[in-house]
Amino acid sequence: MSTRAITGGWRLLFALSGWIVWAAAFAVLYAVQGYFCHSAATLPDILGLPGLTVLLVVVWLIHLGAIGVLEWKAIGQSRRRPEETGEIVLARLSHIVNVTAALALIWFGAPILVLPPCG
Amino acid sequence: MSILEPASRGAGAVADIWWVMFWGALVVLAIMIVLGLYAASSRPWHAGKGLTAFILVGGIAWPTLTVLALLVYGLWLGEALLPRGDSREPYRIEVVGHQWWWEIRYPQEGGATLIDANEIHVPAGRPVDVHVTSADVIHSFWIPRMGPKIDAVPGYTNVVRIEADEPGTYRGQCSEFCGLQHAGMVLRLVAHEGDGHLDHLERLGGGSAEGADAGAGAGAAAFAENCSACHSLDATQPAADPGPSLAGLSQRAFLGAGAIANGPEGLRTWLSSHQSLKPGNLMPTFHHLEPETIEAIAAFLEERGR
Amino acid sequence: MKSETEAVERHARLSKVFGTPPGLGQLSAVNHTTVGLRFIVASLFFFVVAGILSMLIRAQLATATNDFIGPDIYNQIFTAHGTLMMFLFAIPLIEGFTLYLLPKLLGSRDLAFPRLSAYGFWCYLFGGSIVLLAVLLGHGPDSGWFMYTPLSSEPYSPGIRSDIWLLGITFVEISAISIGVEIVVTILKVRTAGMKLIWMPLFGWYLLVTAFMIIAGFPPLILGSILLELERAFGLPFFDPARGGDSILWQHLFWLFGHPEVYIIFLPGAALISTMVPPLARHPIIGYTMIVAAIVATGVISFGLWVHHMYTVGIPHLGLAFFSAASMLVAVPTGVQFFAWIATLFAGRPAMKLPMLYLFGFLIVFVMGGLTGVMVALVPFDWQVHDTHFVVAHMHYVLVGGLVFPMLAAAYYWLPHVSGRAPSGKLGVYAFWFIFIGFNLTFFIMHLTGLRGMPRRVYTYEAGLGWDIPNLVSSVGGFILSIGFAMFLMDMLIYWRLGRLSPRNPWKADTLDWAMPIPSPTYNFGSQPEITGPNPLWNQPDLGREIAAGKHYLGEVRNGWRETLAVDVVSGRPHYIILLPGPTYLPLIAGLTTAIFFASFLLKVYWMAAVGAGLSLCVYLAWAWANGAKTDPVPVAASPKGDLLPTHTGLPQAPGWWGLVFTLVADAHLFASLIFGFIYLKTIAPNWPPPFVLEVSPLLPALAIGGCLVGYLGARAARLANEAGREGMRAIGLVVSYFGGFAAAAAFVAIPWVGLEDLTAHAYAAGIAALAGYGALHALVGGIISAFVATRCAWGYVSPVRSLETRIASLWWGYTAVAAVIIGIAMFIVPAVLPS
Repeated sequence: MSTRAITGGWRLLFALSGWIVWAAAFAVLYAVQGYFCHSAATLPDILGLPGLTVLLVVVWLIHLGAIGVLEWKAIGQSRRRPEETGEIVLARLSHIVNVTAALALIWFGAPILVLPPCG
Repeated sequence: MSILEPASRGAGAVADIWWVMFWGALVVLAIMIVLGLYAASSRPWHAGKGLTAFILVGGIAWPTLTVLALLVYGLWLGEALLPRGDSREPYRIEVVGHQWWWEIRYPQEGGATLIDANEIHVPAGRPVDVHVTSADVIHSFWIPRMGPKIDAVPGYTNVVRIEADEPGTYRGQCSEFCGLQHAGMVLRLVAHEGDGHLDHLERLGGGSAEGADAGAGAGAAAFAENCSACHSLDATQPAADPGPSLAGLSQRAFLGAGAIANGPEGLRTWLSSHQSLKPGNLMPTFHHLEPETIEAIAAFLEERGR
Repeated sequence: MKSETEAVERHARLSKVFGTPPGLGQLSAVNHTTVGLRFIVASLFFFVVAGILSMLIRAQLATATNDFIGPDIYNQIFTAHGTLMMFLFAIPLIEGFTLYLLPKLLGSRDLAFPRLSAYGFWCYLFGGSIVLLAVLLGHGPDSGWFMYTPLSSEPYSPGIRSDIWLLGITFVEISAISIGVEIVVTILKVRTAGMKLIWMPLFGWYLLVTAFMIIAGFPPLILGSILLELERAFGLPFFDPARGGDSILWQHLFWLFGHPEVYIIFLPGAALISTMVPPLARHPIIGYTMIVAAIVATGVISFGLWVHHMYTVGIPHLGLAFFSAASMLVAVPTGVQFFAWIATLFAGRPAMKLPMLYLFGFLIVFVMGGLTGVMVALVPFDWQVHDTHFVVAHMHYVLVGGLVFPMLAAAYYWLPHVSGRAPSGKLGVYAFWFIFIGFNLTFFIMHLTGLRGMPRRVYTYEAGLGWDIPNLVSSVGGFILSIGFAMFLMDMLIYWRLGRLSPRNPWKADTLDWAMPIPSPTYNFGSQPEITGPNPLWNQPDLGREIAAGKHYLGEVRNGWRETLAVDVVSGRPHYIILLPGPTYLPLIAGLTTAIFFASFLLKVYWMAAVGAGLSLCVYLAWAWANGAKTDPVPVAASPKGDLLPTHTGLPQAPGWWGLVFTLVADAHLFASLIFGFIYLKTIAPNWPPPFVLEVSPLLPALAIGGCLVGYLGARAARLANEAGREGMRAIGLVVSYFGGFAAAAAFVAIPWVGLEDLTAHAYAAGIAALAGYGALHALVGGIISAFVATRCAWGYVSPVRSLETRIASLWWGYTAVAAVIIGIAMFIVPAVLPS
């Protein structure tokens, strides 16, 4: 009984996790950008690009990848689960959440590519 | 003070995008009202078919494309307004916010600085980088017709770039709430043709040539006793406990950071009743002074503050 | 005929069990209907006060150089207007509506923690009264509702005024966090049989996300308030740039709360709309799943918007771009909801009833607020209009559109539910037009006032700047608006008592709140229905009668228990029976002792504040002691079909366990904000590095962190021993963790005490002290929990089945141990390793 209760909570969390990754990406990107723009720490240029820009792009892609992994798991799950109404709708919610979160992550990270990282 | 009457290229670009957004917003609002009224007018349209597409197009595609265009333009415009490189060398001034007045500092060649208050004199047609900070609480430096505002934050110096297209006088006002007299922190920007701003600086510095000593006479003595602890008459020397510098006082259009028009009458009114003109300002009332003393101080300031 | 008498008898039995004693006994009420209505009435009272204040503002600004009220009074008034409207009207009103409606919509008989919501009410009432009293006595806070440092700091705001805000509002926020936890656990666990997560009324999803936002969003502000109060009271310089603090840190902490706050206010408004639109359109909502995703997206994005209140403080452009992009993005999920509502109207046959009129008001006003919101999200445009009256106009369109208009519609929609009577409609229509026209007259032209350069928060202005006429129009509009609200309140009062009786379910709605007699009985449902679809009253037309006839779950009263179902989170299958607490004075007493703490702190009588905190602790322990049972729960009959379900007492997955989980989520956000603040100061603030560094023997941090790890291991050993039935081991584990906790607490206190010269000299020292204080408090509470649980074990309240309390100790200690390690890293490694 207790395990069932816990898995219920985790499954809800899993269904919404795309946007949680988005939130994490937002916090990490802003923190990294703020830290390197304001502290004495410096990064070397990489391939002619400011090091900070490259670092931000890497962080950005890692989070996009994380959402990709979540969606891949979600697809796997919706193949395995029995076809009960509730399960189908929850799985569909999971897909919508992942796809919209990925698009939103691309959206707000895009300025990294066009603006100077500091100033 | 109006954003809609821009007097610089930057402010002009913002005013333009405002009008685009204004008309766009009216169209969006009209569409939403019409849709809402039509949907509620009790005419069954269809039983759910195509409504998902309706949500996808109206709720997702439409707003996404609209804000995408705005975002791209906004970032581009932001870059253009920021104090980045410019082929022309920007003129540099420093502004320090105080409760409740503005200290204006003109760095001079050789490291000296001329200090003025509440009025800024700059050349027209040349970018001006304003280095803004605060001596106490947070204020915000803003001259609407010139463009972006920037906060004056204690411990930091922020830079905002302005440029007056035409010579003229432009009003500004503190726009971050800073206490009792937040409303009483008016600022005047005077943009001069050619090198006119240098004349102002010369007069400001010229007063200093007479030295920080008050000189002789009853007015001078009264000034020294009552005023000089906070106010300096020397643009190169701030007072010990700085209130606004009074160097070049008679050139200013206003007293008390916009509280009253400058002039023989205004000066006397300010000296005798500034706490009712600008309640809560940090200058003591000096109610104990005889009217003759006030008159002597006023006369002294008129003579020395040229 | 027989079934009807039966239903009446059932009603009598249940009413007796769920009722509250009359007279003074009303102070012991914990029933969600009562507490919810109390929140609503109190919030309306504060609304009226804040509304009167706004009329004074408009009177002062009606003409140029007006000396109706001077700057001192004006600053107090506009601060109080914002503070009251945000903290004492909007949030409590939402909480009140939710407490009242949520169990009824979810088909349950009460909330997960009825006493907690009663405690929340008293905290709100007492905290709000402190603020209101100060305003009426002319000692109100005067640094704006946003309390920017250093204006609100000691040198520029000496005296009690800022303390009133910081302590009064923190007191009220205890209430918000309590209700947030209450709502989340209720939605996840306390629903009726068969209510799958994805069949839940959208209201449930909206409030689930809103409550999470409260849990995540309020802690940064609580932390900021604590730090600022520490600075004001004891000179710890977190925000003073001269001593390594940073005034911008306050803005980050404030808006980390402040922007989610806007959506905490809007989402419940949208929740009401999504609940009212299907019955009014006579069609199920279109795009349910898309709306759920949109709600989640809105909730998450709202945490990525806070810097758009700070475009002008001098943050790098790329940083602003992140927030600009997110601010524009939030228009999309909002668009989804609007089009889903319109699509539902298209699909159905809309009934043009009075609530619909107010929903149209919402549509127009909120769309306008949203459009200007997109405008101010544009960085260069905001550089111009930030802190002008344009933003005042925008924000009122969003908040009045997003909350007030939906609430007015909801008031007319649910009035019959509360009073059993229906409004006639006439006065409500007039009120609408006064409010709608008055509002737009006041605020539409205010956009122009702002575009013409008038800053916010000025108590007066010169004539001739083009501000005179727009201000006069706004003031006239403001008074028309006020008349409209007065008409609305009168309408409510009249029809509360004098309206014609309303039939049951007057809107032919689909939701379970209308499956009961009106006015609503205290117990909500004669039996808790098993539902078979997302629109229960449309899917099962006979449901109302079946419920009253006791054909579903928990229809029979036994042992005088207040019973309600707890279900599986996702599937809605019945899980266990919650035995709800009856009327008790504990919440009131806890509220009073908490009030002693806050009031004494405010008056700087610190020994008395310590007494208040000690008394509160005693009351909390007495409260916790009142729970539980000495025998293991046995499955009991739950429905006429013969389903057997256990009672919740002591079960490892009882609501209390969930409650602690979400309380720790809030706590973790506070902790994360503290760590963020410390690193922020270290990296960005001026006047670093500090003149001295922490110098302590490595033994102290080892004892502090080690003590917490021992505390965790002891509690964990006790939990495992309990499950294995080894009582001796269980006692040893708890005693070990008790000593670990007290040793760690002492060591945490000693670190800044012996290792730093002067806590007031630099923000570095103040930050170390705050981290140590956090660690000490958690270790201390952990020690108390261990001692408490050990005592409970000895008294026979804990068994291998009733393992809740050992699990709670273990969970608390797990959190504390992790926090202690992070504190150690922040104290000793971060300052050494991270370049400034």
